[in-house]
Amino acid sequence: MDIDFGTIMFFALAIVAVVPAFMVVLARDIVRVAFWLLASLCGVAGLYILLGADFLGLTQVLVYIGGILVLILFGIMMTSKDPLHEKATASGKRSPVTGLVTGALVFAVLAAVIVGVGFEENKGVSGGEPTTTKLGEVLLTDYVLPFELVSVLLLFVLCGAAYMARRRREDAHA
Amino acid sequence: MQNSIDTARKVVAEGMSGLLPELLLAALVCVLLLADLFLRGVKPRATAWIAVVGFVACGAALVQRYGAHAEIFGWVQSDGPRGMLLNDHFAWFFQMFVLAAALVCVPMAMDHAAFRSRRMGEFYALLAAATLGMFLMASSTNLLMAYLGIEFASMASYLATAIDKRDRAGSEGGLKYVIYGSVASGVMIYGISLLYGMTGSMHYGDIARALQVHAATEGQLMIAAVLIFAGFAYKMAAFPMHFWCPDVYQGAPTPVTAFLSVASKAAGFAAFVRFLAAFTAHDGTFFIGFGDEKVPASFGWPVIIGGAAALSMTVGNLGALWQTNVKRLLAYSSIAQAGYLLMAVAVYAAGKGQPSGGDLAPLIYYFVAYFFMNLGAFHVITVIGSRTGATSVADFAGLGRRAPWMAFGLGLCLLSLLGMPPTGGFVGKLQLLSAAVKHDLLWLAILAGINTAISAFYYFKLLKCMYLDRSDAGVIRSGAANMAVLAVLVAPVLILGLAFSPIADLSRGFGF
Amino acid sequence: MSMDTKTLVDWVLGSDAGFWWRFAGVAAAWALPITLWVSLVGLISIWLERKISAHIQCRLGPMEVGPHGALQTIADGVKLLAKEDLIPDGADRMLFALAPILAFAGTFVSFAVIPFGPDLIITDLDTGLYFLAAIGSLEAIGVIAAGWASNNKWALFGSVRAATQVVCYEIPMGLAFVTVAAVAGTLSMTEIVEQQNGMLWNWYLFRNPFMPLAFISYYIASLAECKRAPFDLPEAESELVSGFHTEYSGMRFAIFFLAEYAAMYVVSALAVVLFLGGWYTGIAPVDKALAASPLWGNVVGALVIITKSFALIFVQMWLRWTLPRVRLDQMMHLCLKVMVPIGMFVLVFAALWQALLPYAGALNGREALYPTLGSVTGLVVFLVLVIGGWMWVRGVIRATTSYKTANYRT
Repeated sequence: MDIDFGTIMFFALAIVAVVPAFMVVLARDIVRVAFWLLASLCGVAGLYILLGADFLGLTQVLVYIGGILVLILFGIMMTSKDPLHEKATASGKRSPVTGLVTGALVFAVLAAVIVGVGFEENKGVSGGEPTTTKLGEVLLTDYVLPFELVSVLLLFVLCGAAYMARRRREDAHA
Repeated sequence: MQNSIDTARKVVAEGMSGLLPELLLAALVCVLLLADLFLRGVKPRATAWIAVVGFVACGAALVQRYGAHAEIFGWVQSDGPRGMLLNDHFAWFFQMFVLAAALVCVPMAMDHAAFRSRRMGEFYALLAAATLGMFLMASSTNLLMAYLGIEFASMASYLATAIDKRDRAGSEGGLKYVIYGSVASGVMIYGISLLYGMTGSMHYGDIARALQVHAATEGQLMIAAVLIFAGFAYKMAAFPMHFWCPDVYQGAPTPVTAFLSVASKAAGFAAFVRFLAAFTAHDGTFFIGFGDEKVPASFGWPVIIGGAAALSMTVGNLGALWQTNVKRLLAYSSIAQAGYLLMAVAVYAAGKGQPSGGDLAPLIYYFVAYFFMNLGAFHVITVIGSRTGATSVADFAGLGRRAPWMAFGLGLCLLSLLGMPPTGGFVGKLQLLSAAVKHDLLWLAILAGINTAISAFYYFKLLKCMYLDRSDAGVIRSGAANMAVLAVLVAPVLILGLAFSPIADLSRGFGF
Repeated sequence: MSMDTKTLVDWVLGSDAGFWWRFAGVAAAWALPITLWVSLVGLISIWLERKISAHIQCRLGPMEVGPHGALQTIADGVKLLAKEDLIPDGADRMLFALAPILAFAGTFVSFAVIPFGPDLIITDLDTGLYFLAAIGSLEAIGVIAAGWASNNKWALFGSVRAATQVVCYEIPMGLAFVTVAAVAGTLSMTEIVEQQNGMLWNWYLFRNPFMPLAFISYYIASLAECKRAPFDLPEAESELVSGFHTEYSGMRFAIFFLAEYAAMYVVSALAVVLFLGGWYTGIAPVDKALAASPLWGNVVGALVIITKSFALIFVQMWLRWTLPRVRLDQMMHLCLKVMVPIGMFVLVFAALWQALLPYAGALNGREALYPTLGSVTGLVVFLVLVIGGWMWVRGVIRATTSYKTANYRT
């Protein structure tokens, strides 16, 4: 068929990624913000998959949607003291001009860079090929040191998080 | 596939032998995390001694590694190795530096009021983890590794800042640290992704090679590089990323503040200088952003780093003027010091563009002096603070009478931070200024001079408080151990100021 | 993610069909049957649940509509369709409408990688198992949305509990997934099944002495993921009215209900694929004969996989009507202090077993007929676990059944 499926999918997913991202900024209710974020993250995951990074796309879903988004929602529910639906994000009375100008400037600079640069060709894998095996191989050969170090990092961060969350039993009877 | 696995086995086996200090630190983290579980009924200080033993063992392994020059954990290509870590003299110096700072922090923590009589296994584990992260930063030769090192050190620092859960200021500081840290980290990783896209590699050598063939225009490259710089500047507590510094330094337990202000900064500088060296091409010519290669320092790295240096000094010194909290005052002071140190990097960058090549000796020398003067100052603040609860400048009134040796030590460290003779800080600053003038950065030298004058106000404010203001409070007993630590920290401040030439000679050996 | 070559659609259209044709083909060939299948699973299992619960409680259950009440669920469905669609005052209308869709979509999408037979799989993703692990979180988000949007404290409590539970039990479940992946060396669902070809003892359940533990760990975690008793805290009728879907009525409620039963099928079918030999009967000559004919292989394969799945669903129901509900702290304790360490233990030792005692290739050909060291020890451990568990339960029952209650029974 002549219609380029990839292009159509790209724009569809880009819309899914970008429009909700705007809504994340604009929405007032923080729970709504979280759900707009969900849509945006899904769009990004779809883009990864479209670009042939299937494992990365699923990791995006697993980590951001299954982990971080649930954590955000959890945090909102656990910490809210107000009546249910009055979770405005910030004091929304500030002038949007500063934000708009800054955002536009940053966007212009980054867009100029990204559009202008001749990015290097993808060397590792060709599109559509499954990436899992290659990722696994590379992680345990060329990148074995960072891979193992990350596990040490996660270990002590996990312990640290548990320490922070622990009830102050020893402090209480001290 | 079997072939690649065999190669990987060989690389890992080779790398492991050069990785002993890091492995010891990683083991120390695990041991300390478990120590409190198995040491019930033993004195709480036992974990501190485990930490000391671990750090000393790591130091011994590090001494043994002296003189090595090996790029480890990577893959070999036809034109050279692509490693993760590069163990050389430069890395060795900063790793020793960080390790020494961690070792000094252990007695400080043992003496810290909030930590006494509590099980602090987690704290020492975090200290070891932060040290490990900074080791990686110092020897990173790959952006991935540099980023991982920064995250490693940051995560441990966040937790260490908020380690005392009863202390609201500490928790607030920790939270602010996390938030600013994630922003810096996000900006940095964005820059890394841009640079990776432009050059196709995260290895410094490859980046330098790709820059030779002009993968991108200077402007585009500079944006990526500046974004990455944000991540390093965050660890250095230098200008664009210094906002976290006062709150965190004030809120964190003083030993943690001391460690952050010295070790974290040094590791940040080490990692940044390594990154900067990636902009050095094969034949020694230096890639400097905008402008032509033949017109060095028109508007490139020296100017950008010099600008950050100038702003750091000014922001730090002006901010410090109005501070009443001692730790906050020293936080602004440390931002200013980051400015001076950045000046040394700017000089190095300017020198790289010239045939003479970059000279890192002023940076190394200043860091040696900074180690002793800053840790000495924080040591006195910890000792006095944990005995009297002193936090504000006014609380130090009459210290010259109440604790004469402590006051003398603090006074000497402050003079050195200010850059007065006969201290190490003076010699360090003198070297910096002369190097800056030599490399056409006169404007920066002048700004540094003006800033030194400004900083005199607040350093002397504290000195005046200690020696001229009267106080009825009684004499403070500091303890023999603390006096010994003080002597170890303060004596070199004088030695570096009086007998500087041997150390200056030594510092030349630790460049690239 | 490329459309995989080995699908029914290719079989019909030929593998050189244009992309859009294949896209349409996949949609037509799969979306409709899967929707029907999900509804059918819902119909059957809801009826089963009512009959099983009734028989466990010495009742008859639905008897009026159809033979033995078989059509009762359809009647209920019609009733739900006709019910008024209520949205509570003060609810977040957008999220309220979105929640059941999210919850259902999460389960529905899982069917994309759940095989029914050697060729009966929508897309045999290279990352199939990982896909399931990732997509599972979507349902949790639907549940959270439902609880939040309802503007009802019972619903909110229910959804907070659901979030806790799902987030917790993803860890032991993920560990079981990783254990299987480490043993299988692949994440593709059909490859995992194909490696269990041969006699019964080649199933991953018996692959090495640690796999039975991984299976039990997975099964318990899957109960919690489906919010089934004894982990039905998010719904807990006696405490929270009916938890996160308290405010839902009519079709929206029906969709939640359907999603729950579809999820039961998904986790059971996954257990079958990962541990119980998938579409293989466990008798090597039979499987070999079936494999010779694609048609029979797929038809019988589908029957086998569905039968095994429903057997596991039966166990889920049996447990539900036998066990009391655990408390929130017990639920957390069981997960984080019992199952995660066990999962870690199993993962490490299964990986060590795989690395130190490799027998790759043993399954190709005749060796598949004979048990290996791994399958013998695996079988032994499985039997020890089953018999030990049975004796333990009997002991508990004997110890807790006092003289009085024993008398009361007569």
